[in-house]
Amino acid sequence: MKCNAAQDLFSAAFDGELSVAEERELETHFSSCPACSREFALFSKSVRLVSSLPRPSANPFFEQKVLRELRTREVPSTRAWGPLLIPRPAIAFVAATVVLALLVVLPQNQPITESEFAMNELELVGPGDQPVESPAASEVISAPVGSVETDNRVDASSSLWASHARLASSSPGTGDASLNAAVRTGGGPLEVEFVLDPFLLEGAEVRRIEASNVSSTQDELVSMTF
Amino acid sequence: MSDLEIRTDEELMNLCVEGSEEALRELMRRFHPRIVNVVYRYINDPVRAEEIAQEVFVRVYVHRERYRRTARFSTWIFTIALNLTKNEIRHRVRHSRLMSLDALTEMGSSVGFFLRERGKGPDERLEERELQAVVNKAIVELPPKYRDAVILRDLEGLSYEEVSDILSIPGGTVRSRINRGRLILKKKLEPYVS
Repeated sequence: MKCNAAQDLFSAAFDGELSVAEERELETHFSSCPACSREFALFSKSVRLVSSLPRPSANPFFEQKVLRELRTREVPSTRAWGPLLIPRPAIAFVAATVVLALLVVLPQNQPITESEFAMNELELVGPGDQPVESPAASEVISAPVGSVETDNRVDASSSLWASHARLASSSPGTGDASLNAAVRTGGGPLEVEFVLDPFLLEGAEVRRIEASNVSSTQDELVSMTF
Repeated sequence: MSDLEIRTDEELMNLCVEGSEEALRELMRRFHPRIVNVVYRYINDPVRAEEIAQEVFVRVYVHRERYRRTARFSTWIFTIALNLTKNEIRHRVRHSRLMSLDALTEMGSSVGFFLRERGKGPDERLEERELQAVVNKAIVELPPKYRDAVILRDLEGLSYEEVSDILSIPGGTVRSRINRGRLILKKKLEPYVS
């Protein structure tokens, strides 16, 4: 085992997560490499120092403050999409943009079911067309395109499809970065507002998605709101 | 011991979904210090960390119907806490006139850090608080992707699996980010641990 490979195992060794074979290999390396052995000792001390940082002192009135704040707020409707119905200029703008874009993009004979704002699960698709778990991007606000019926819809329950577009990502990450790819089989720009924080409806980003075929997609961040 | 104290976090959250304020109180008792701690490590501002933690619990309750009964509660609440904290960092960066998204990501790591240089000589023993400040600074200065993993693992003691769920990254990536982050910290903290 080389020193770099040994370093790669430091955390797993510290956390007791090495396999038996890895543990044996690392011990053998340590016995022949005093430098790595010393490095691991320093590494362990450093991790323990970080872990030993005291927590900030707790505010004894924390609970009361939260409960008082809760009483001043109106609890939203029991409908999951209730908060989306609150007028927001950013959503209204995006809704209008998407409608206009779809008028250009969609085939004229495409049936469109106009509906209220809908919240859908967004299925992220990674390399090899494998679904990617990403709670931060699990929901998307669609503008009033409704549930457009398409012939290439694979999973109606967990995907948002607009016309022949499927939203996909090849690099899942946080809400800011994960929605960076889209696959469209039709041309024309489409602007969609994504909620950065699906739990809280906090912040949004508008992306203009342009693609002429599935292997060539581009998207551009238009704006972000918080 | 009350009935609520022996319930799991998930059971308490399910009671919250049904409107139990007592269950929320118990969850606050369990998670309040942990949430404040995590937020504080990002923004290094105890007062604001406390306010953000309050907002986390307010949102947990207000949006309680969004909680998936099968999900682990700790994963859900830490995700909310990280999202609110990152919004705070964005807000601070924006008000610092740093508008670029790249700058936002990069500068997020140093926002809110107010350590003063103490000018101590190398032979002088650092006071405990000063050492903590050094460690805090090293954490805050970590590149964001390593910082997230190290804070959740080493300051909150979450499992690799929980970190993976919260950050939405595979287990192998969690493992390598934690290791890389710890190695960076080791390098910075070496003078204090050797």
